[in-house]
Amino acid sequence: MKKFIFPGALCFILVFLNSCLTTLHPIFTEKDLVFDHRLAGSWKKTKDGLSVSYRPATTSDLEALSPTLQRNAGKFYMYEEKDEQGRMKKANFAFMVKLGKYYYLDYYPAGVKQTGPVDEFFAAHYIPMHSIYRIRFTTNNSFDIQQLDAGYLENLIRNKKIRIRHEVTEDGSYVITAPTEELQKYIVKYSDIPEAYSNDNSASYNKIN
Amino acid sequence: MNKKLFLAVSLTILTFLSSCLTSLNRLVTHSTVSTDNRIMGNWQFEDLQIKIESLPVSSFYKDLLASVKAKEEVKSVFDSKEDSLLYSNSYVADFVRNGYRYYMICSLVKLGNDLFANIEPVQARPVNKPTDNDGDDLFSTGTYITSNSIAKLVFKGNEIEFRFIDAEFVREQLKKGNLAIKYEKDDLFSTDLITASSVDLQHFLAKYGKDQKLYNKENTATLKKI
Repeated sequence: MKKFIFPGALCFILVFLNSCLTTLHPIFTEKDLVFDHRLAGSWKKTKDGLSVSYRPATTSDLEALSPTLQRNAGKFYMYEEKDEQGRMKKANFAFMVKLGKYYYLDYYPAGVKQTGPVDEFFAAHYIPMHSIYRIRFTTNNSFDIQQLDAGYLENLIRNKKIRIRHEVTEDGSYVITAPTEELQKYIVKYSDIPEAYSNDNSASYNKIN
Repeated sequence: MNKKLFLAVSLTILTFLSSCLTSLNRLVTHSTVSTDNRIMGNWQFEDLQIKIESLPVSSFYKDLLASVKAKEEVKSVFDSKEDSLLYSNSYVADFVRNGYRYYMICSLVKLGNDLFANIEPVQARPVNKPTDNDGDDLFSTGTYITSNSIAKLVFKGNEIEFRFIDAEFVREQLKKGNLAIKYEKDDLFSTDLITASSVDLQHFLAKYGKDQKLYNKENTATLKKI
């Protein structure tokens, strides 16, 4: 039988995950949310000059979210990345939480790119995931973020060194389905292990205004 | 894109997501995939024209191969023997809405005397800008995983009914403890996802697939042959 090959350019099953730890559930509950005024404003990534902004979420940003999250407007941010023409490249909700000694950001997708309404049926097949970063303010005008590494956690699971709820899909991808409490325990336990963070997904930012 | 439109798009998606229940795993695997070429052709569904072709001979697949510039790119997780078997026996459906052409893969499985379809998204490509990278831009603003929807297929003359599983009914039964199927639910973000394995999904449908309560008119898409 002729082999049927799919080009790698369209890896359509699982997505934009790379080595980044993403989770189905958030790393916070309503009571865990913290707001740090230092984060609000525009920032430049030192590595490539990319400009990003964080601003407190407003009521109009939150219409699609649950009433619980809507009640907490003002306790989290909208993270936006725009290209040189000012067009939106990325938009995420960013939730800050303190777990153990460190602060973390939980990013959650806030929309898709399109010039008209997206097809609802198609879009319903895309499940938004939480991307988890540790954030450390180095001064009032600069901070570093480091994403948690998916490979590290997957190795722990594979080697039976941790029990954390997850699924392994038929193509071998890991999907972390642990509830918030389990995620928080994992983050605190491994917070000082450098290998638990991804070097590829760390960045420093300086404040523009 | 202007901010209001961007947020309106996000609102549409998140609102619809809350009423749709999809599965992390496919219902159909390489060892259970079945074919039924009655599904192929041009179909009308409300204001949409939908073309369904066999995947290996589809214009989608031809375009895909043509867009591959380096042989190395051909290597992927999809060139495993299992994926080869699954996709060579699958179909691709495409339709245009609001300037984007959407592609979805449809794989069939026969359970008892019933035929079920597993539908998964592949690509959304701008109609007027068919460049290599535009396809995956639509969901590049955040991190997502793709999931699968499941429908029972019923052929009626020149029509096909896609009877999608009634998400509200399943949610209600799960809440009452009347159904046992692996499932994740996050109340804070109103996200839910069936996480049962393909085998468990097949067992579930073999057991409950004939129950008419699992389907309703609102969740049935009737495609008329053009």
